[in-house]
This record gives sequence, C-alpha cells and structure tokens, in this order.
Amino acid sequence: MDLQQQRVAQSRADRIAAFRSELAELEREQGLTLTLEQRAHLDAHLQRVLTDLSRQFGADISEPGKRISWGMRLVSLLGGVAFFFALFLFLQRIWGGLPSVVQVGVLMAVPLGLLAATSVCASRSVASYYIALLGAATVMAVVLGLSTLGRILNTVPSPQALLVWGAFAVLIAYAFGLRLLLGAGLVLLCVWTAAILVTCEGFFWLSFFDRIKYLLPGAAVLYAVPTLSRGRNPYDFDFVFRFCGAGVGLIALLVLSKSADLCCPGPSTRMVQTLYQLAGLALCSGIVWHGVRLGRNGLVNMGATGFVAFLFACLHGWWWDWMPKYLFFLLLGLVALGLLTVFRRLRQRSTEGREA
Amino acid sequence: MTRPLVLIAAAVVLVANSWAVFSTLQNRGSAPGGTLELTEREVRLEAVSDDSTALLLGLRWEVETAEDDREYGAAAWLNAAKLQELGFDCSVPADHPHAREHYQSRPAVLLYLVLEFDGETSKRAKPSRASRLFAVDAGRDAQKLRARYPDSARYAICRGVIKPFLKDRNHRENRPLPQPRLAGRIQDLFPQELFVPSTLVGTLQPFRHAPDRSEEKGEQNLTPRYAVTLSWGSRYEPWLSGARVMSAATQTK
Repeated sequence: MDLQQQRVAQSRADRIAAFRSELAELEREQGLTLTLEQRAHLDAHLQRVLTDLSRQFGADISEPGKRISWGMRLVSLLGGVAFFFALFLFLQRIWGGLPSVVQVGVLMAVPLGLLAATSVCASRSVASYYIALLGAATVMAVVLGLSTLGRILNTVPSPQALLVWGAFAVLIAYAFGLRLLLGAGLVLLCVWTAAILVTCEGFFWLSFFDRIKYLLPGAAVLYAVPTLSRGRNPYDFDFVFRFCGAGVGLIALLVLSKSADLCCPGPSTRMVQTLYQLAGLALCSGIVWHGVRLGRNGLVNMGATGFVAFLFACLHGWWWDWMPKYLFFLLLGLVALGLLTVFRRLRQRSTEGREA
Repeated sequence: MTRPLVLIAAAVVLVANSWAVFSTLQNRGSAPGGTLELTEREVRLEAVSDDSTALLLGLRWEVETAEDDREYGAAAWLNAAKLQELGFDCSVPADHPHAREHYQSRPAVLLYLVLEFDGETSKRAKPSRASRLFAVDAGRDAQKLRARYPDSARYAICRGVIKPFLKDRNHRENRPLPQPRLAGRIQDLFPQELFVPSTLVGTLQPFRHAPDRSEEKGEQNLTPRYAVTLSWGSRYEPWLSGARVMSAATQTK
C-alpha cells in the first residue's frame, strides 16, 4: 500500500466526519431536510465508504479511534526513542573493547539494518507514522554513524559529510514519501553548497556562518525546483521545497541585514544593512503573495513572520540608537496598528470580491 | 520506484563509510607529519560517562604569546607579515576606520601547523604551562614546512584553523590602543581529541578513574604516568600507534 494512498484515505475519512457534523447542524437549523429514504441511503453509503477506507488503508473512522491512534503514536515515539537510546548506550558500553574493524562494521550495519526494517515495514502496509519514525531513526543512525567514524579515525571534519547526510535523507524521503526528512535533507544540501562555496573562496568550510550569503543560491534553487519540475514531484513535496527555500533564504537575509556582509566593496555598512532589510521585506511580501496564490497557509505564515522580523530589524536599525526607548516601542505599536488596518482592508476586499 | 531508491541510499552509506576507511588507510601508510612520544602533560584522558568504555585523549597544546596578547590568545609569530604570507588579505591598514569590520568579517582558513615538542619555545615559556607541545609555525604547503623543520621526532605537522583579527583595545584597562595592529589566533587544531584504539585501551584504562592530580599540585608539577606515540600521516591526520606506562625512573617533569 502506498503511503500517499493512506494519507488520501485518512483525509477523506476526516472530510466525511466533518460533512456528517455539518449535515446534522443544517438539519437542526432546517436549512436542509432530507427524506428518511434519502437519509438512510446517504448513511449507508457513507458507512460503506468508511468501512472500505478503514479496511483497505487503516484510516481512523471514529473520534475515539482517532484519539487512541494518537495515544499509540505517542507511545511508539517514546518506545522508539527508548530503543534507540538502549542501542546507543549498549554500543557505548562495549565500544572500547571492540577491534576497529568491528567498530566500522557496526557503524555501517546499524543504519543499513534500520533502512532494511523501514523498507520491509513499508512493503507490509504499516501505517505511515511508523514508517516516518523508522525513516527518521535511519537518517539519525547515518548521521551518528559517519560522525563517530570520523571520530574514531581522527579525521579532519569534511563538508562532504553534509552531502552524504542530505542526499541520504532526500533519497529516504522520496522512497517512502516522508516530508519531514525531505525538509531536513534539503536544508543539509543547502548548507553543503554554502560550505563548498566558502571552500572555493579559500576559507575553512565551517566558517560558512561568516559567509552566510552563500546560503542564498541554494535557497533560490530550492524555491525554484517545483516550478522547474512542473508538478512532477510526488506527495506534496513541492510545498516542502518552497518552504525550505523560503526559510533558508529569509534566515540568511536576516543575518546579513545585521552582519552586512559586503557583496561588493564601496557602499557603507549601514547602507548594505538597509539594502538587505529592504530586500528581506520585499521577499517576505513576495512569499505571502505566492502563498495566497497557491493557497498554502504555511508559506503565508512564514512570509508574514519574516515580514514582522525584517520590519523590526529595519526600525531597530533606523531608530533604536537615537530615539528614547519608550518612543521606539510606542512607534512599534503604532506600526502594528497600521498593519492591522491594512490587513483588515485586504480581508474586506477579498470577501467582497468573493461575494461579487 | 521505492526499491531502486532504497538501494541507492544503501550504496550512499556504504560508499561514504568505505571512502572514510580507505582515506584513513592511505593516511596511515606513511608518517610524513612526524611521530612524537607525548606524555600525560600533552595528552590527557578526557572525561567520558561511566557507561562508556571508549577512551579519548585530549591534545593539550600551547602557543607562545606576547605578554599583552595573552587575553587575545594571539600567537606571537602570527603578525601581519606572516598572515600575508599565509594568504590572508591584509590590504586594509590597521589604522583604517573600516579595519575592524574588514578583519572581523574574514573567515578562518584551514592550514598546516607545526607543533614543536619540548623545544626552545617550551623552554622560553613560563613554567605555568604544563604542556611542552607548542604551535610554532604555519603554512599552506606541508612539504615546505617539513623542509624547514626536518626533525620529525621533534616537529609534527598537523591541520589547524587560523583566523586574523585586529588588536585595537586593551581589554584589561578597557581603553583603545594608540597603535592598532593585525594579529592572528589559532582557532582550532584537528582533531582536538584522539580516539584510543582497543589495542591500547588496556594500557590507559587504569588511569581513567584515577584522580587528576594536577588540581592539587598545579599543572606544571604534574608527573606524567603514561606516554603515547602519536604519528601524523600523509593527510596530516594523527593516529595512536603505542602507549606505555611510565615507571618512576622514566617519569620526567
């Protein structure tokens, strides 16, 4: 069974529950009255659909069932973390006595074993949540394994580890349809590109924090991937690409608006900071607009949060040093009120447009 | 589609781990970085949890600093001329209004460092320094450094990170310096901790839970109880090739 099918089935079961609840409300308000025959026919049909969804895809079709499922997920998360720690601490306990060859073997075998377990569970129609849990444990094992290998071999840290972790997380995400791992993998790959660009400039790769502008090309590519792939991405991955690209890009711009890392010699630090702040505000507005167009609340919320952060950075840069603090916060409050008025007008206009 | 992706993911893990092992084997094929026998004064057993049987040795190294540079951790030999030689952009004069921003925004660079063991620098240094291992030079070319320091039993070459900075304030007296100047500090030395292989764990294990006497006697009075042989290979990454318990007769201050 495909994980995407599980998600679609659960989504339909949720929609049916919402429909039944609204139908009951409409009948109470006498906005819609079905004949007994129509009602019986509808109930029988919905029950049949729900039974099929539950039998074929393991969807939760009742509220108590759903609550118990959440409890089971929580318990399995705690159990999974406990098992992981048990394995980790056991290995730590015997580690010193193991020959190097065995240590290397264990560091390779654990992630591969977890990968095989994830694959077997996916092929046996285990619920998507458990697959996600196993997938996350597999990626964690790869990260820990390679770091530990570097440690026992006394190697100099290499940026290529980021490539391995990122590529592995993305592969696992595509193999099992896991959005969270896709996000983690994409961010790692973005950091890897920044690290490589820093190395090309002749600096140590871990100094990429001092050259945070190098995160921007990777962020732009991530945001553009869904447009370039023209919807060929599976499982709602387009949103993850855009969300990660926007998130990394905004964080990089926010840091740049404070550090004013010069892209070219000439302009003063203050001017560069202002330019980055204005670019950040423009980008946030663009993300909100794009999010509204795509109907993606996640993008809208990220753009709005970013907008507030950049606005604060702008006002802080312009006013904080010379203005009395009480006046600064008063003006900040007035700006917030002004924004609320603008948002209210926008909402009103969009409601009027819909009614028209 | 799932199966090929899973196979590729497994291949990524296998290739990455195998590459790390292959590189290490290649590194350990020869020791152009030098071989030093260091004592407990230079390599200390690091505190690890009681549940762990793994042993880690922390490398204790020093750098000679000028008296007024102690608070900055600036190496005395890392002056503007040396930084320029190492490839840092020192084009902005130290007294330029934008010098501080310029040098603060310079990222660190990975270079080769020369570690001198029990040499002239440690004899010149104050007796409060326990370690006799001093970073004395740096360069972009390891072979040139080896030609300059040919004694591989006294000088080791390893990898480290150097960052320039502008020394423009006297922090102790909290006042700007009349003559700012460019300096450099060794930000990191790789690796800072050395993993003890299982073949040497038996020798060093008894000292793991023994009390650290340096607290009571002062670092400089520490009498080393063990010594380890450390070699730096063709990639200038180190490995432990031997360990021995120091008898009373061989213990040196």
